Amino acid sequence: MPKKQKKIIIVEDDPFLSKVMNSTLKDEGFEIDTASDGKAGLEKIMAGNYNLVLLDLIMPVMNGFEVLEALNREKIKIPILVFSNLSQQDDKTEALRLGAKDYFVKSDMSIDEVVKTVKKNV
Amino acid sequence: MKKNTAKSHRPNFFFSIKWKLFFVFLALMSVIFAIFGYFFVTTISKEFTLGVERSFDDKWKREMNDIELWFSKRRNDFSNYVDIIRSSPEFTFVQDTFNIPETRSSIKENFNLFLFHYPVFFQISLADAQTGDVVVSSDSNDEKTSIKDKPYFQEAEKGFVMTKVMTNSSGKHVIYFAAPVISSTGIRMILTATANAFALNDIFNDETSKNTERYYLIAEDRIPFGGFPDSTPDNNVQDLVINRALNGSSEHDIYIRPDGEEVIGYYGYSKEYGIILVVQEPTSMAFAPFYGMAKQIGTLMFLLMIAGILVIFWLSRRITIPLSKLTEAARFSYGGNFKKPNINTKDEIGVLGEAFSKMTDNLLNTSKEREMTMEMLPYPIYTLDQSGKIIETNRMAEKLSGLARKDITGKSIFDIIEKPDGINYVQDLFKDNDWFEINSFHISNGHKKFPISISGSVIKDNGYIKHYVFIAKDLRDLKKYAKQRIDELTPIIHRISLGDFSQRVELPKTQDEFTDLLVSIDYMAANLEELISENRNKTQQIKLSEQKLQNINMSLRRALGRVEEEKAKAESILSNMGEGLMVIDPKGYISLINHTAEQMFQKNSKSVLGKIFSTVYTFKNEKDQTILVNTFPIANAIKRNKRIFSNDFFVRSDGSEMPLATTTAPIFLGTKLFGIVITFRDITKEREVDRAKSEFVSIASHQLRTPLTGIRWLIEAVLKKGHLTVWQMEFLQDALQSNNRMIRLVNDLLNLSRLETGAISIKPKEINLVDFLNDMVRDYKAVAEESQKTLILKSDINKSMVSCDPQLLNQVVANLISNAIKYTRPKTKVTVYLKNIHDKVNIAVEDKGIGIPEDDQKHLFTKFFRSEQAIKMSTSGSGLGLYIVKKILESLGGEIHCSSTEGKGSVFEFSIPRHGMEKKGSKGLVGWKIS
Repeated sequence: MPKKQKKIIIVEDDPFLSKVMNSTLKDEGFEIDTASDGKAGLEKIMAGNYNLVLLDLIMPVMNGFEVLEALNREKIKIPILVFSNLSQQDDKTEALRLGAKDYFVKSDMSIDEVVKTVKKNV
Repeated sequence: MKKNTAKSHRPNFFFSIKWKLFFVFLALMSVIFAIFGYFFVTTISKEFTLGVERSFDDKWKREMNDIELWFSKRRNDFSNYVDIIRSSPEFTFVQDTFNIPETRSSIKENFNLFLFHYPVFFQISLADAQTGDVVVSSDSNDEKTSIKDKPYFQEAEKGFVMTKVMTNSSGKHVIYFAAPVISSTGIRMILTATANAFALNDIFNDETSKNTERYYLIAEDRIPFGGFPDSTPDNNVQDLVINRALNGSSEHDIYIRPDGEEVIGYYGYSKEYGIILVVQEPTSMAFAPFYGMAKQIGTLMFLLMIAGILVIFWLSRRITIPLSKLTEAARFSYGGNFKKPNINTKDEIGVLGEAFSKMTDNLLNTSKEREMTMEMLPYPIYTLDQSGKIIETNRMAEKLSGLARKDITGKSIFDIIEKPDGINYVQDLFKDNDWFEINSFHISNGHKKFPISISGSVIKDNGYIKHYVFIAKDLRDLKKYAKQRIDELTPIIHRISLGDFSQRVELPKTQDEFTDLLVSIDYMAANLEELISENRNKTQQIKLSEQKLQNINMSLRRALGRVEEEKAKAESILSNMGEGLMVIDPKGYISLINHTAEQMFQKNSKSVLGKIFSTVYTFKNEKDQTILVNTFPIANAIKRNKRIFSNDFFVRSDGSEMPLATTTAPIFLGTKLFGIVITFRDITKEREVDRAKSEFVSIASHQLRTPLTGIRWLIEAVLKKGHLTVWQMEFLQDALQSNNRMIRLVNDLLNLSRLETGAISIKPKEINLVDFLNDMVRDYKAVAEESQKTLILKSDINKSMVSCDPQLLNQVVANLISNAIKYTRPKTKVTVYLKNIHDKVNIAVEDKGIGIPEDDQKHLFTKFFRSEQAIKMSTSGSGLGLYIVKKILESLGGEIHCSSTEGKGSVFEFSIPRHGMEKKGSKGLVGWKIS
């Protein structure tokens, strides 16, 4: 491969969503890593060298807001797209305030739109 | 002081009329003299100059005549001699003759005889007319010379020649004479003679040597050869003058001589005689007579002027002496010594003097009258000088003191009147006033002292004290009189003091200060009498009023009993009601608080009544600001005169907060603000329920969405991979659609739940609707084009600012646009309209769809309603869209309605207020934020 593969981490507690995103994005040629809760996700983000983070908000152990806060604390700059099923404006505002690059409601998107969004932002 | 007074009335020396007049005459004379002198001097000098010039002309002409005469004499002399020579037998010349010595000496002798007789000539000779050789000459040296080249030689052959003044070979100025002579033997000879030009000085013989002018005779070679009084003159003639003369000018002029002296000169040139005649005289000499005359005239004028001044002085004295007399008289009059001016002139001043005399007479009379009056007055009068010495007095004063007038005058006033304590000088009595009045005693030697009153006044003259006038009054009689009058008064006052005002006082016949007193007392008594009778009437009226008042009081008491009863009822209601209630007076003091409020705010009424509510309780509004008397909502309620609903917090003493639903209302009695009623409801529990509900909905919808998203993406992923049979693909797509419908349903239900529980916070922003709608139309254009439909925005305006929550407005417009796109027929147009209508904006979405049956239209905005047509066209609707739209619009203060024609299409039109959504009130929505 002439071009270096882009590394993406999916932080998502729902196994089905994680699986389908993983599979589809791999088909598109990305190198994918996954984490099933906020804490595991944060550790991986801090250890690894990712081009993009796809972050869920409602998760066990540590939720998405806490992950964003922790990254702010550690002063780690990395593009983060929030994919959540919380559809309220307040949640979106809060996530963007904490440094997320963009915010999407998962149920309003098709898998194609997810791919397009990732490609645009990586 | 007297000096001062007099001085101020003496005319100022330089401003006195006599000097003014004098100066006026003097000025007038100076002007006349100046004008006269100017004309006189200019005329004289002009005339004189002309005279001098004319005399110079005359002199010059005379001398020129003399020159002419001189020349004609010399011509005669010579021509006579020539005739003698011609006719003389001795001159029967032959060539040889001249060689004979006797003949030659004879001729020479003859020549010398001629020269002796005519000393002007100094040489005479005969020359050969052909060769020019001198044959015989009075001067032997000339013989054997030739005159052929002499200027007169050629001419002399033809006839008589007399040259002008010329310069001969030895530099001498001469005049040549020549004439042809023919001898009997026919030999042609020329007789020549030379005259000395210096001899021309003879013409000045008749001039007197006293003259100061100088005459110059100048030859053409510019060298003077003669003159007067100096016959061998200096060369003191300007080249310029000579040049002018040679050029033919013959005139007089004033110029500077080479030696620097200014001269007047007359010059001219006679070509015939080759002479320039110049007469010149230093101007100082020429005009000396004029200067002498001018000096004489000046002296004369000076004498005239002196005489004039004397005349003027005399004239002005003539006018001013009567004036001075008048002034003198006036000054005397001022001093009090009236004097008539003695003026006899018949002019205006005479009239003035006469009038003044008349006036003086009158004044003298007045003065006499004054003296008479003083004499006749029934009081002793003393006129004092400034030192207090009596200078004038009257008959009564004599009588009072028993002294003769001559003994009184000259005394000090304090010899007559006892000097009061603390008074040293007369002026002390006045204490800066112009008059005084005191009581003192009369004293004089040998007499017993007795009481008198003394009044005095100041006679001022031009601001300075001149005299004092004192008037005395014998008080011996007056004291007796006063006692008598007081005795009359006593019974009257006694009667009045006992309260008897009915009798009127009889006035005595003598009029004095006591009369005035009696009149006043009588008037007072009459007034008192009147007042007493009025008082009696009023007392009766008051008694009647008291009775009436008692009746009113009874009714009032009864009414009060009823009011008390009502009050007790109201108080019982207030204290038992479930809501807290507080009444605040207009100044912010708590005037009433009910039992519930006491409990709610943990303070009993005693500790709060009569206190400013914000000093007792801490309330905060939604923005965490402390509520004071003059802040929202109290001020707002008063300002708008209506009830204000608000959500506030009570801050407990431990700092925890109690949410309250507050109603604030002003109480007006007429237009006067009586107070503010505030009711509080503890909404802690309601808030908790709301929060729980909202959280449930939020979590539930999230939890529902997650598996639905899983289903959606998995199916999509499968479809994306391909390798499916047609049948599998169709069924998976159906499953996907069904799943998407489920997602929308969940979304709608979530929205609905939020709207109905009020768990939506409205965040208004200033939006430009034109830009806002343009963005939305652009977003939905792609969707429309997918199904071969078009979407456009029509707006007449390019700016429409509204204050609105963009999120909620977006939901409304998105819903209407996506509905319209869904239901409009393919290849038709969906149009969004925007209009400003006063304080509202109108947005309409029009489609060209199947339309909505009239029966269905009224149910359009109800929950879960779907028209049959819609169900036929699309199975995926939840029946909640328009209901949500309506709910949102209600919360935004707007409204929506639909108009539709079956088969043609529908229009959904809604309006929202342009400003201040909160004005309309968001009914049913409370602004608590739910996270």
